[in-house]
Order: sequence, then structure tokens, then C-alpha cells
Amino acid sequence: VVVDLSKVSLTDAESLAATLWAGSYLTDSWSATSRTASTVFPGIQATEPRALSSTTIREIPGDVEHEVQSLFEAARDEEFEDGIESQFSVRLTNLIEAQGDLAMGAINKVMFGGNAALDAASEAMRWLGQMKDPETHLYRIWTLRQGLKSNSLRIRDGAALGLSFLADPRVIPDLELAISREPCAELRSDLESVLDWHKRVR
Amino acid sequence: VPLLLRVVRKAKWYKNPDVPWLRDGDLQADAIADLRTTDNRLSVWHIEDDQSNLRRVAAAYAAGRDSIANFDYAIFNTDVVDDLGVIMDDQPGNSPDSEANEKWRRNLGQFSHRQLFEFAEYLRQSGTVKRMQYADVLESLRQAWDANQLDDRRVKEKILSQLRGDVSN
Repeated sequence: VVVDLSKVSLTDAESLAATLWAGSYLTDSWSATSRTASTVFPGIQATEPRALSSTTIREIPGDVEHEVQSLFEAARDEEFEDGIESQFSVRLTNLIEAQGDLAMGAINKVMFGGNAALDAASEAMRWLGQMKDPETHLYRIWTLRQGLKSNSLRIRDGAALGLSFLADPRVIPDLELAISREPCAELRSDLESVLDWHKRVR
Repeated sequence: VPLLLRVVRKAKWYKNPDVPWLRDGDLQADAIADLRTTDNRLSVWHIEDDQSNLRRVAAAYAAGRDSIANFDYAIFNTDVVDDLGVIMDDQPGNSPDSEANEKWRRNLGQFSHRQLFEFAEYLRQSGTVKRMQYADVLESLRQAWDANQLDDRRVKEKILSQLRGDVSN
């Protein structure tokens, strides 16, 4: 199931997504993932959706889900370098541009379901922030905000990098919260730099 | 004392206790991938002891990429060359900043596998891994662009567009 978040606020989007993650509106194929969601995102709780009426809920087509799984599987053998396009980044961004939120739903499922290599998930986070696609902007921001809460330092780092490419003041509270919770001093310092950047461009 | 710079990915160099499964004194194995050699050589950049050329080196390197991104690097003392018994030679690079290539590009060479692991251990103990954020890299590139330090024939169109102000990202 994927929700079109392009027309709702971040708060509503998060509420919706939290509900989906918590299993209230999940199909069978999402159930296994939802059980791990509370581990990946300890803050997520089942809540009533506040904006369901303004959203569209669609099934992720099997071919999109399969393509995303294949994409992340192939990425296990790739070496990534900052600022250099890879087969993974090109396929990832093309897929998002072509399939929009459907692709984002499948990507989130793989990344936060624990089925992606850390390096690939971290790389994906960077490109979610770097790519330009207004249609999926909000969903990509939501994913990056969730990435900041990951148990994996590598994924939190990737999310911080992804957010460093954006100039969206709506993520300032998330960055401030992430800084207050971040146990790694190095990453905390990087997050502070990203926060400064968002405040400067506000 | 002059310094040397190697481009890395910072997240691979996080240590215990930030990576809880990692034993104290160990590096993540993925960090070794940042020390991949070609012909048993490792490309590095010379950095002045006051780091006055750091931003220009970052801009030179970043200008050769596909798109503007953060610049993660390990910086370390040149003493490591003698300590490890490897050689260092000038190896003009192919970044879009030809003056930076001539002045500051170096190769560390004749690495054995043992010396490479010793180098990784040296970086763990004595090196500093840092990140220049996207916004700072963009600013450094703009400075280099304004100072005519970059050969635009060797810069990808995506980066040129940003430097010309055609797009915001």
C-alpha cells in the first residue's frame, strides 16, 4: 500500500505513515515489515489517520516491488563514491521519476524492512535528497526524516547527507530532535552543520 | 609539517563506541574499500600545514565528479611515508583544476598488502576523518569558478549548470 503524500502536511503525512507502518491499513505483504517498524522507528505508534480522505491509497504493483528488490540486491556488489553516479543511483532515481510514490513505497519497504545492505540504503538516502522530483518531494523528505531515527549509524549518516542537499525549513525540528538524540559526536556535528544550512536558507 | 589527504566516505570510518559491534581499536572492514589501490598505488593530495589549499583541493576534486556532493576526507601527516616505507611521487591528476593537479596531486606507491593494512591502522590511530558539507563544497566550487581555476571543458554539465546558477541543485 502506498499513500500519495504530495498534498498533505508533514504532520499529517507522518500520522498517515505511522498508521500504515503500525499495521492498521496494511495488506498481508506488509505485515512482516510492520512488525520490525517499531524497532526501526521506536517513536511510531498506531494512531487514527487524520487526512485519509485527502489521499489516495494504491497497491504497489508487483513489477515495481520486484524492480526495487532487484535494484537493492544488485547494489550489494557496487562500490559507491560521493558525487558519482552509479548503476544503483541511476536506476533508483529513474524509477522514482517514473513511478512516483509507488516506487517510494516499495523503496521504504525494502530499506526499512531490513532487506537492504546498509551501504545501499545509505546511498539511497543521499540520492533521495539530491534528486529533483517535485512529485515525490514530500515522500522523500518523510523517508529521510525516518532515516534520522534509524538504529543504523550508516543510515542516519545517509539521511543527514540527503537532507544536506535540500533547502526545506520544515525539516528543522527533525534535525534539532536528531541532534539532541544522536549518540555519535561526529555525526552530531555533521547534523549541526546541516541544521545551520537549513536555517541560513530559511 | 605538511599533510596528505585521501578522499574517503566518512561513515565507513566511524569507530567504537559509535559502532557498538566493533571492538575497541578496530576499524569497520568497509573502510578498507576507501584504500583501493591501482597498480599498488594510492592517490592522495598534498595539503599545506596551515591547510590553506584545502578548499581549492576540495573544489578541484569535486569539480571532476558527476554532481556536487559532500567531500569526505582523511587527513594525515606525511611522516607516514617514511614510517611505512612506501614511496611518494608527483602524479599530475586529471581534475579540472590543472594548477592544483600540478602542485598538489601525489601518489603513494609500492604498497604491499601488509603496508596497506598498516596504513589503515595509521589512519585509525593518527588520521582525522572530516566532512565538507554539500553547501561548503558548492561555495568552494563557486570560488574556484569565479577565479577561473576550473577548465569548464572538463566539468560535467550538471555541475556547470549549478555554478552558472541555472538550477538550485
